[in-house]
Amino acid sequence: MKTARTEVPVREHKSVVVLCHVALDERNGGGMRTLLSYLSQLPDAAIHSVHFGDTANSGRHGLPVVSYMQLARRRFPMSIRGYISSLRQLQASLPNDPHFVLFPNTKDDVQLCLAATCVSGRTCVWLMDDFISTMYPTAPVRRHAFRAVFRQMYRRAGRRIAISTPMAREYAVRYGKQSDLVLGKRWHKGEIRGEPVRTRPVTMTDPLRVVWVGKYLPYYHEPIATFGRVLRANPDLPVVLDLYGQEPPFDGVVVPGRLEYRGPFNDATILTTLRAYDTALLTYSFDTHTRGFMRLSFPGKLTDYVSAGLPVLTVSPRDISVCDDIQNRIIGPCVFSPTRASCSARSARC
Amino acid sequence: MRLLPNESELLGALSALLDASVEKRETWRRNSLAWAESEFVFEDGLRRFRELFN
Repeated sequence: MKTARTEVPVREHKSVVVLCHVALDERNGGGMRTLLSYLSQLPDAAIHSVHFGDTANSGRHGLPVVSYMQLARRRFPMSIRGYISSLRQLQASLPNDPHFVLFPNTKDDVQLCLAATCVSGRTCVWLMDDFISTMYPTAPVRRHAFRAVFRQMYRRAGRRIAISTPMAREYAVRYGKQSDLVLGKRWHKGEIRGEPVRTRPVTMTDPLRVVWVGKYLPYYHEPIATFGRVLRANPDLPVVLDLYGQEPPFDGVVVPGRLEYRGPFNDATILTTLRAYDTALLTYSFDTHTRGFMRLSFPGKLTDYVSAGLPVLTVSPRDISVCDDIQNRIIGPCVFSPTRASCSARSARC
Repeated sequence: MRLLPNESELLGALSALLDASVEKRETWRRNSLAWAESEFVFEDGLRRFRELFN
């Protein structure tokens, strides 16, 4: 076991151990930023991050103190016993019985989180997407094995948090255990407000300003690339799209002056950034993997968009469950229709 | 073959945004904020989150 730990404060009222393949760090995605925002409201707790070192740990977490423990990855099925041993060592080193927050997103996470349920009854699994349904699509033995491990982990957890109501409903049927809470990204009540709607006319010199925020991944790419093609094909369309995120878009997406990458955003001030725009863009790609992986998710960016009072243009497969809410809430136009395209004719990314 | 968003439908949606009246945009704005205020208030989630740790 490799360890890289900082000192634990002497005076602490409770301990919380977060289990995830990436270290507790705000640069590791929107889900982790959401988790951090809640952990920051447990001021008496000492937080411990147990991870596999998948991404760099920059120490950016906004919490008073976090200690980190990096585990060496182990091979299934002996991994479970090894992780139990490591977690018991950690548990024994703490001055009180910790709560374990299980934040799984990979097969290694699932094993580590199952181990935690063997170490303590004070476990809470928090699921941000239905990743388990898309794991090992072409390896049925492994797929069944890890689904069984996940099922055990989910059922054994003392508490369960789902990211969306559709996920809570489906998991209750699939695994026979109700979620205790549906919880995702949220904003303080005083921060939820919008700017007055624009009354000045849209022109080429003062176009409709559309914004997208997020980590640029294949899940989101195709509609943004399509947006770019529409802009190129319609040079007189008075619309611009700005992208914000830690990752730049894929090659060929930017349309100079009309579809631009504006760099990383600061999560604490993102609502102020969004309020400078007329409309927000929510996208999901139409490929099978995205439709499976994201089907039950609830995007943090959508919480940001509506909390800033923006209309939302949605471009997504209709079977992503959040589209039900989007349609019922009437917050802007939606594009659900796909079109078939030859892979080679469109892009190398298929 | 793969599925991509329909370009003509996206162009139609952008046109709908450009042509929307102030009243229509105000409705979208109000609906967005109403959704946020009903389901995405941090204080509400935090109370229930804390309950899980007690």
